[in-house]
Amino acid sequence: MNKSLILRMIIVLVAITFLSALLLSITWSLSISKIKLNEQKVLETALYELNPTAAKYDRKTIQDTIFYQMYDQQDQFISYAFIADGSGFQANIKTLVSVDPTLTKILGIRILEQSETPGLGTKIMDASFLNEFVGLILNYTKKVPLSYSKSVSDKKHGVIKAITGATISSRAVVNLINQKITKIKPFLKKEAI
Amino acid sequence: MVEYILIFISAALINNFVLSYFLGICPFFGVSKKTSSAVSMGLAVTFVMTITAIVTNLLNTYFLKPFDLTYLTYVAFILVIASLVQVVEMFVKKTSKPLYNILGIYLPLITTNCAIFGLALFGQLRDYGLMQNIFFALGAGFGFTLALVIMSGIREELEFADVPKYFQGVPIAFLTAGSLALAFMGFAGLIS
Amino acid sequence: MSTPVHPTNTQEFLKGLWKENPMLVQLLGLCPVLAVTNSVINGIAMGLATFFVLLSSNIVISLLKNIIPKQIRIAGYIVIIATAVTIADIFLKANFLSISKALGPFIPLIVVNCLILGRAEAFASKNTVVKSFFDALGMGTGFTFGLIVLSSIREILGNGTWLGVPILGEWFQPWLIMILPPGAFLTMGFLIAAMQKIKERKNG
Repeated sequence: MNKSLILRMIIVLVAITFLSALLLSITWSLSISKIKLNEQKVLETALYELNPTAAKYDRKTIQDTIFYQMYDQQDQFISYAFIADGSGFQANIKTLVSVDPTLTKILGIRILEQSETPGLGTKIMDASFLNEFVGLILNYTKKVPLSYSKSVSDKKHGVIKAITGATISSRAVVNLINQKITKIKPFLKKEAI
Repeated sequence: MVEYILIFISAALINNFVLSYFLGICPFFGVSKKTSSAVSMGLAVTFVMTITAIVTNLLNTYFLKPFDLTYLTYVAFILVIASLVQVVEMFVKKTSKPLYNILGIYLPLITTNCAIFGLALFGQLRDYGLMQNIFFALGAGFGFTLALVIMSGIREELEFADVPKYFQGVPIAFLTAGSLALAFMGFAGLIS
Repeated sequence: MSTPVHPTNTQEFLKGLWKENPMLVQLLGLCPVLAVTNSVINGIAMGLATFFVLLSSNIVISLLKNIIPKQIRIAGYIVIIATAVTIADIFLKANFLSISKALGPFIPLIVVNCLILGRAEAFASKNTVVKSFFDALGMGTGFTFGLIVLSSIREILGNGTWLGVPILGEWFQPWLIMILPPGAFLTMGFLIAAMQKIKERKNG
């Protein structure tokens, strides 16, 4: 293989890659604001659905965790909300969890992102599953504050009923909420004071 | 260590790349007619997967994420895979002729193997660290090889069976894969 | 009946719809096919995305066919394809977020869809831009058609709905298996067997 051919190969490949990167960065900068806006909309819709009396919120970051403090019309602090995400059955699940200021009761959750099995795993977005989490009491003296049962729920003891046929997706949601809440509880306690 | 074993088992059995995620189908049907070629393909794929996992993970951690260039991921990853396959092919050709004769023809096919690209993407999506990514690749490669070998074993037997006319060839292979996928679903409860 | 030596543009378009249908006859690009056909809307979305990428890549590669040296053509083609896919991905994320989320990691997998690289290698690199355009048009439409057929079967039998609308009524107990991986393989197997039978009938 002669030198001029090798040189031509390198030049062409570099040129194509460079032009591609250029095209992509242009497309990206044109779309990024819209993408961020979409994400923001999804988040805010969920935040206000979980806290109907809320009027505004503060976004805070401690270490690498983002959480939100919700305030009502009278500027009273009413709840925390945080994002818990992690592996689901197929890809990542991203949930928004709303807890009361004492961190002992879940006010509700919303699923922000998921790609679970349609018709089965996607049932985690159904109202019946989401309602399992409303008013769930968290007990931190147990090994994990939240758990699931295939048969019956027990809100007083932090047990939700998993979706029939979608135990893995249900379990995934429970696990990632457990992980996140035990991780940020120390910080939130400090903030509450 | 336990975590890595779990990732391995999960990728190999519970979320088998071919039978659960549908990645790597093209070679799955093309190469699974004979067990010997199935094993060779599986080994080649596992090998490329592992190196790909390492390179793309490092690329992601030190270049794409810090500089906010994640939109270049697809282009960057596929370039890495295409170059890697090229390098591996040249390397095998130079160092071991017999190995090249066994693996040789399969290597270029690996460039467009959805499984390798999918592996790199999942690693980025799930934010795996380097070691996690390596075990993920090993598990995925093992699972892929497993599915391929089982498939080829069944297909070799089918050569002697009385398959209905219109189902001969590809259709019966799909039905076999379907049964295999069904069987592998049984692994779902393996890790509780 | 043999294809004429210099097929017209219309014929280039039509061959992708049936005779050389990428999904049902050539069996190309199956990875995403099996994964996203669990609902019709997903199948259509995937078909359109692939269509866009196929069209762009066929045109660009045909334009550049004399510039790219033979030895690096695969690498060159695949970078072009990856760029087109990234653009489609960004577009979906900005404008059709729910579809983008539903198709998930299978949009980037269009990059390694053998169909697109296959057409680039077999056709676009050897034909004019205009012909490549029509080839892409036909293949893309045929592929989307195949996706709609497969996803319709799977959604109707597996969920009782079509495009989310229940059409089989209360009495029908959905066959869950159809929307899970095994169902995809099984349906595909039957479809291809059916295609082989139809082809034989036509030729026989």
